[in-house]
Amino acid sequence: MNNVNTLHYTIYSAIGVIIGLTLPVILDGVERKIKAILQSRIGPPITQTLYDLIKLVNKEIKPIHTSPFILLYLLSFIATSIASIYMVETYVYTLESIYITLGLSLLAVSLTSLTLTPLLVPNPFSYAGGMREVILALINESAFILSTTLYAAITNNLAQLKSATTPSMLLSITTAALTMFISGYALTGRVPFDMAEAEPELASGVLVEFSGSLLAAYMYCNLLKRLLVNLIIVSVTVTPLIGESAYSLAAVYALTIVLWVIFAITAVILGRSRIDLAPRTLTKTYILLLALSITGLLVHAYA
Amino acid sequence: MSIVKKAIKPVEVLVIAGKTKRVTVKYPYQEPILSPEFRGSIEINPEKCIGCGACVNACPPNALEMIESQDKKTLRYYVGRCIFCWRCIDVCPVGAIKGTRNFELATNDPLDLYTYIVHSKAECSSCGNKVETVKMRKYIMQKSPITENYVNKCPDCRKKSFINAISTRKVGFHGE
Amino acid sequence: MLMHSDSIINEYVSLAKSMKGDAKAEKDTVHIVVPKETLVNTASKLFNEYNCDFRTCVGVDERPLNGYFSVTYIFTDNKNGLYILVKTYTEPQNPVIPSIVKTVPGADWCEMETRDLLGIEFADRDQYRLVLPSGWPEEIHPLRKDIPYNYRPPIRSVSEKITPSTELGVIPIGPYHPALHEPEYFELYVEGERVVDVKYRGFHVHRGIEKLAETRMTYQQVNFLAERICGICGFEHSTCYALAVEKAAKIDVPERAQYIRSIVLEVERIHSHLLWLGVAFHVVGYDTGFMHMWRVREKIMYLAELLTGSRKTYGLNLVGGVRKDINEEKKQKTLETLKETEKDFKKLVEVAISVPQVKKRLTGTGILPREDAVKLSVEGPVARASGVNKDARRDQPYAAYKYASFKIPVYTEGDNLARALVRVDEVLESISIIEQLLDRIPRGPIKLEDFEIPEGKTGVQVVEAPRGGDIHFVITGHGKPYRWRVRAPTYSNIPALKIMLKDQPLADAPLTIASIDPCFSCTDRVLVVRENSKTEWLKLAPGVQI
Repeated sequence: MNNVNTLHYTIYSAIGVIIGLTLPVILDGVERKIKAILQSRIGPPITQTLYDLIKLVNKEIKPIHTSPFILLYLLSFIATSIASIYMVETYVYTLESIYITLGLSLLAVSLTSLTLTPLLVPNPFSYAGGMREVILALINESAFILSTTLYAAITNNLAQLKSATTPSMLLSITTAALTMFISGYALTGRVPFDMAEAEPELASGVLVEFSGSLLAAYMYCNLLKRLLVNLIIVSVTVTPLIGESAYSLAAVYALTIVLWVIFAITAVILGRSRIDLAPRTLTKTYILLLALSITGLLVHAYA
Repeated sequence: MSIVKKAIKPVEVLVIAGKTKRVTVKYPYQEPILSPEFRGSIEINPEKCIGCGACVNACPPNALEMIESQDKKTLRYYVGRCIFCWRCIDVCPVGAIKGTRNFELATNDPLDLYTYIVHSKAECSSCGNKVETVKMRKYIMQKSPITENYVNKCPDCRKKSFINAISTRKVGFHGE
Repeated sequence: MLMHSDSIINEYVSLAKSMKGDAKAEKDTVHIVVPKETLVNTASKLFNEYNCDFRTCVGVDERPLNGYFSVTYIFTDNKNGLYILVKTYTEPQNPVIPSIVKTVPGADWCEMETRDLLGIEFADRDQYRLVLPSGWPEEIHPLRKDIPYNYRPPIRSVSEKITPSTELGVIPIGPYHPALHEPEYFELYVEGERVVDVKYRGFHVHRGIEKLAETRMTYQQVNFLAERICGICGFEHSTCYALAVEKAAKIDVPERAQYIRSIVLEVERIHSHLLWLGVAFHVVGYDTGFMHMWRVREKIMYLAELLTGSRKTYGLNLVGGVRKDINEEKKQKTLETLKETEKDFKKLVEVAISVPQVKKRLTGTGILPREDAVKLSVEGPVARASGVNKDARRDQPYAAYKYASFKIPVYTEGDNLARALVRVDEVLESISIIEQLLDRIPRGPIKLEDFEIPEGKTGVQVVEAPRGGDIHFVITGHGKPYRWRVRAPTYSNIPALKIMLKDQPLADAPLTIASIDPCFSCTDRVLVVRENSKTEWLKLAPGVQI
């Protein structure tokens, strides 16, 4: 690693973490505005999500006797997310794959605590919704971590693995990237995969007992999850191309915003799927794409 | 190719959104979109109103009510019940009610929603009862060839005089 | 299709005579009076042999007139455009009438409503309280003539609780829910993600409209009350009432008024179907389709305001005609708006149905087989999507529909997608009907000024609302109706939900419930007191507090 000032890098990383913690709220407002424009209406102002969270924080919580544990889970999510963001940023500076592995492991830990939060609420509807989330998490997280590792491994070791332009290598890279994008999108919990609530008309899902600042914390954690996933995807894809430097972090954040906007537009044109349809489709897609990717890699390596 | 076209179809909603710009209006900072035929609340002209009560009969939700007292007849219009159907405008014989385009009627003081039009009642020249309003007598006299003498009585006394008049013409004067 | 051939009418008359009853035919209505003993046979013959469609039954307290209670069962002969009214009398002390529910399953709810509101018992069936709240005293029957409309009986507060179950999960939907449009209460019994059974308890907003019309309104005022039975299909209720009274009083309404009524009815149908499509897309999660569909609908609402003076609750109908005319400028505006709407609508439906999630979730869910549709006498798009070809505009033509030619879309699959497609086709047909009628509208007056309404006459009329056949039954009285009965289409469609929701995934339950286009404010027309461990009195229609 360059000796160019670990102090500089630490400061940049700290600033990056702070940006990473505040960006999701504004970006959610931007997403709602884009959704409104695509639906031919004026829509709420960009700061609306911030206002919503502030309003919720000022309201009282209807007490659940497991509230302290729920809060603990959510705080641990935020803590591990911060650590994960830090790891990803270090990866952007150094391009050493150990950091991306650490980042992904911390992501797995944080996502586990977030996914299991609804199971702590003593309400049968919460369990039902929580189980739906668990099914989706199992499928999407495994695919995401696998494909990201695969993609990072391939692109970081290109020099060693002869040239990158053979068709099997291209196949491998593109299918791994495709899986990464699809599973990343599914992880952000947007339409068509926001089925944890089954349907808004039923009130039989995850959010049924949250209220007040607890609800605000849960909503914020979901937004942070979206940012983290976007950050990982963009840094893995873009950093090998632009090289490591202090300015690559700025580029990565800018492209994260762009990716968020693209995901927002995709969410607008689709409808909600059902809990028996989506996991089946997703599993089949992931298995197919990952199999193609690994096959391509093996063909390239031994041919 | 057609499979690709079918897969891309949902994206055409972006094209639709592009053609139609934003259609919502930032009410109340902008004017709402109303057609020329819009029906709002009504306005009663106290000069023209004769207190006949035709509007009270026709009003479906009883927003217009007639309150009787010893020497006054009051027409009360309660906007809170009004359904803006404008039936009262249809049936008013003198055209005293006008329709407006006003629908922003919220207020902090519920008494703002009531309008009262007070008419004085006219006295019957034979029994002294007060039944109909002064203005109604004037309206009847304008519209119909009835002598002022006849119209100055209340309906009961009028009936009695009419029956007396007929019996006088049939049987002759008796007693007096 | 208006051939009331004498042979058919004579058949009904001879049927009545064979059942020891009497019959009288008036234009398109056959009034049959039979004694109680032969009632079930008559009903069964009409339903099975003559294939008449059962609509509803009406209980009337005729004690001030002739000292009896009566129940009239209304059937329609769709092939010949006839209304068959089967009336039977019973004594006032212990009114009992044999129930026809074993041969005509669709009569279940209307018999129970008659029992609740009038106290007439029905033999040979299990009876239950349908419409009145659980704490209501047994002896007070609101629709009897000796109960004043503003009488407040003492009510025991009884709280209705969700059914506990240990084997199945119970998911309640409603009656108060932030996302629901109207109050209804469904209990879905689920195993995992499959719905196994459904219990419905409605009638939370019964408003006492029939009692109001019989006691404190005049004939012309009831038009406005009828319009407020429903917020989406109000105009067809007021048209149906006006047509029923005009039929009973034998009033000849000017042709131009009938044309205007038909045009506005079709405008209402377009707006209602666009609303439903938007709601269906929203329930599936496709909010973009929802917003765009309602944007298209906004033009129709502006058109309605231009034609009638108000976006909804048009206030256009009177007994004897309409209140507003359509001049040349409005006609041009209408044609322009319809052209634009047609283009936008077609494009939007093409895009929306191609979204994979929407297609997948609408196809094959909430299936209603044809035999069940016929047995339960379902109405409207629900029936037409299950292969039952019935539509009151063609079978019992009213207003100006006999002057327009239109197709009736019928699909056979019976799933949610079929119901959606029926409504899409109907919108396009409605646009064509309006264009035809505007082309041929005759000149003339729009309102009849001088007419008299005799007492004691009966008028029945079916109007095809956006949700199906709506039927109004009027017995004329002195200055106001003596009896007014409304049977909205959703009333017949809700019992079909039990069949449609069985074995469906839970996430599709709201979609299936929405697919019958429920209009609960049309269905419940009686009052309920909210029970919350203290009774809360509801303020009814303005000025009336119960």
